[in-house]
Amino acid sequence: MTDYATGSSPECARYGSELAELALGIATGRERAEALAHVEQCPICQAEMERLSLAADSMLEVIPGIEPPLGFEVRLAERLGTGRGARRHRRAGLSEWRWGQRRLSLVLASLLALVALGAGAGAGWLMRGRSPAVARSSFGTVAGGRVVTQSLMSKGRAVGSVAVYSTGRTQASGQANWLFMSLDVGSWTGQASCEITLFDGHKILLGTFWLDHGYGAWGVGLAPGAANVASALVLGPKGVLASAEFPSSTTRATTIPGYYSGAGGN
Amino acid sequence: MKRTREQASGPSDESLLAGMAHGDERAGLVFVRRYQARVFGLAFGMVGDASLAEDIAQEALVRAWRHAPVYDPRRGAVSTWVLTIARNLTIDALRMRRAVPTDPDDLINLGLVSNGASPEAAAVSADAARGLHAALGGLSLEQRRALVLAYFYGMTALEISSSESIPLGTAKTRIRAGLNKLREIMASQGSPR
Repeated sequence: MTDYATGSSPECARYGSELAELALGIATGRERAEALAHVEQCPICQAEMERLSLAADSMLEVIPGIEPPLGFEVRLAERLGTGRGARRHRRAGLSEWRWGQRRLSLVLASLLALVALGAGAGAGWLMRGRSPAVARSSFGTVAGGRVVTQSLMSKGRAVGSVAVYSTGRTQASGQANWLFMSLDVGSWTGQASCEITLFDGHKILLGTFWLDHGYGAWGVGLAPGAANVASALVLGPKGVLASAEFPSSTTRATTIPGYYSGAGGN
Repeated sequence: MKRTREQASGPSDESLLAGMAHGDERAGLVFVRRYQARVFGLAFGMVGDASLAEDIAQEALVRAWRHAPVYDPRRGAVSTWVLTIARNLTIDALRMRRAVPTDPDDLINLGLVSNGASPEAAAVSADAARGLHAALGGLSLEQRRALVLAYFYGMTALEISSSESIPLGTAKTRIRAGLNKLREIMASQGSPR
């Protein structure tokens, strides 16, 4: 069989048969070293090996893509974060990545809010730096559930929003309860936590998230029955950074009592 | 560099790598989203284990991210570079864990339109792979198996001869003839490669 367009020298004839294994990356030992040494100084064999390598690499294109399991990106972000050199760089990179995730959650929550409340109420959620001077709450229904938003307040000023989406069903039924929040409070960077108090007085620490120069957005699933949120606190190392009080008529009912829409202030 | 349909509506792979090399996290995020299905699909196709495939895919993307500054476009397309990283890691993982790879026939017969990929990604994959499937179909079964064992599982000619129960010379001939034929068929198809 005439195999390769190699040169005519004895070395070309000798090493030509090794080119395929070199191109596939499976050549070993002294043969590999000798063949590579020849290829390096023989332009004809070099060109042939390049063609063979391209043919070999083309097999990569045959394997179809498959979407990885849920949470792949988040786990990848964590790996990237732990592997970075400088702590500062690591934190910045990780928080930036997490922001991407959280912003996505926030956008989803915002869309829910917009669907439920209409553009007028939803716009307040989406806009940064234009928080109303007084706390506002709003509520409405979305795809089989209910969303209630409330301003997060700090020193008498609205610094963000918190939304509770509730269905009154269990996660197993495919309809979970969620809490989303975004806030822009001061210029502090660090880990904050979120604690809610239910109308029955029960307190739940929902989790922690990062504030980057005061700004953060975060979402978390709520256990069934935990959507009866009376208040939400965002806590920093020195105490309460922001808080929200929900009117008793909004999140108390976990079943959908009817159609709610509109926005109201308190 | 030829742009795939995936890239048509966004920045090129090369510009994303350039951004990653300069610490642009958003470029990295776009890059990851562009390649995660292909990298995971390759690893999963080779090992047949979703958990191991995820570990490999993540490590491949981490390495691509960190090594973005040293990517050299003269040495091949970005997709080849990234997928080669994943392939090499998968080969290492199979060796280290002494895991049983998927059957080479299963790997090569993976469907053109699969299984979890977005319609657009599946279309791109199908476009790119259709000609290659035809090219691989032009090889004998023995040649195809030899190439898959060599390329995807990193098996040497000696290892192939052992696993296929054939003489070493036969294994070498299958590898050589198979790759040469693949190259010829692709050249006759006018492959941009």
